[in-house]
Amino acid sequence: MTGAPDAAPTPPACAVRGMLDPSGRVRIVTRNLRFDAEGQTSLPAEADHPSALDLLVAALATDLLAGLRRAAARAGLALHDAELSLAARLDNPLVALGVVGEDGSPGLAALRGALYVHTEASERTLETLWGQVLAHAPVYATLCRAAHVRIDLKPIP
Amino acid sequence: MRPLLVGAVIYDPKVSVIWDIITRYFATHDCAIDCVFYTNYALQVDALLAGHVDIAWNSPLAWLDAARRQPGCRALAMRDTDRDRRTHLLVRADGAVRDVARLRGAVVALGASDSPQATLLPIHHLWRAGLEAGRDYRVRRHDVLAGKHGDHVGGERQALEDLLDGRADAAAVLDLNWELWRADGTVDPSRVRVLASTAPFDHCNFTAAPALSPARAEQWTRVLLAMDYADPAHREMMDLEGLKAWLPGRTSGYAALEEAVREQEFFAAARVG
Repeated sequence: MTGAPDAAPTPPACAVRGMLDPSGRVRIVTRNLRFDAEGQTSLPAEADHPSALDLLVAALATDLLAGLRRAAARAGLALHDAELSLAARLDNPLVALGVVGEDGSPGLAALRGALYVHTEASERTLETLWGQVLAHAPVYATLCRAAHVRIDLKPIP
Repeated sequence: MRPLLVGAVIYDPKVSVIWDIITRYFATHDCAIDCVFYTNYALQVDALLAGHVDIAWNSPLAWLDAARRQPGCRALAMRDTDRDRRTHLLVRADGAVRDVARLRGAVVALGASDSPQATLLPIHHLWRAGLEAGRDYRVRRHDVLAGKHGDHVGGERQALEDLLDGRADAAAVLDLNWELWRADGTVDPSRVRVLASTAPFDHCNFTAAPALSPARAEQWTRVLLAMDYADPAHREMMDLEGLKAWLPGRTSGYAALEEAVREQEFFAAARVG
């Protein structure tokens, strides 16, 4: 039998283990890290651990701010300060809560946000840089397939 | 022993936070519960009677529906604020309506069609005073979130706006909402006055299905009634749910609503939805 050998499997970009503990928390282990998460949505005003939705939106914030830092460094721009505020809305949060008789999707409907950046770059340069960040951000690209994502760039003079 | 399943109707995701607190409270008192949420009372009553949940937080109309369909249902507990409520018929202070008889030929603004406090009981009150809806006065109905039995205050608020804006001569609102809206400035008390009030009636209760054993029902009720407003750990939830104390359930406060649904043929018209 002839033929090309099977290609070596592509290693995963990320590997995570989640373990449910008796209190209902989920212990997350990835690389050399471990942390706890709790619940699907983020309804109570206070919590001991982030929810699945907190982590998802936080992943986008980390994705974009880390990408901005890398892009700015490559462009030789000093990034004095950057802050991203994000708000996620579900299609029907009652479905996410398991309410019997509710219709619709529990998924993300929209993500809105604003990126506040303090840099000496011109607004035009910053917009170009931001476009590069968005084009190379894996979490952003993934969420854009599923929901309407809009993040406004707000340069701080 | 499996956790007791408690049903609740919710229309706003924030309400689930209250039930999270209640669930944690029961867990710390060796009486584990899980909550099952429903989008309307018809589904919840069906689930209770089918044994899918053991206990349901029922509106007064849902209580009547459950009790008439399965007589073994029991009212285990209720809030102190569920007892002896009244519905006020409000009129403009400078208006021509000085007594209930003057509502003949008038427009009365009501809430959701399945709201005991904002529709069924005020219609019943006027019927006892000799005024029939549709024949003696015209109804402006505000069917906000039908199926939730008037839990959402929107219908009553719209009825009040009708009165204030002159689209109606009277509006029916629950006494607690009247007090709240006077206090928070929603309504100027000098512009609106209470024309008449219904007899006292009771509101929600925790209804146990007949299949729930008396021992488990008694244990669950004992834990609930032990919640103490003086304890800061309990107060947050009690404030959110609008009570100072849980009281044993009683069914004597539903007689007027029972008469109202019979007279208005509410269940016969299958409008419980």
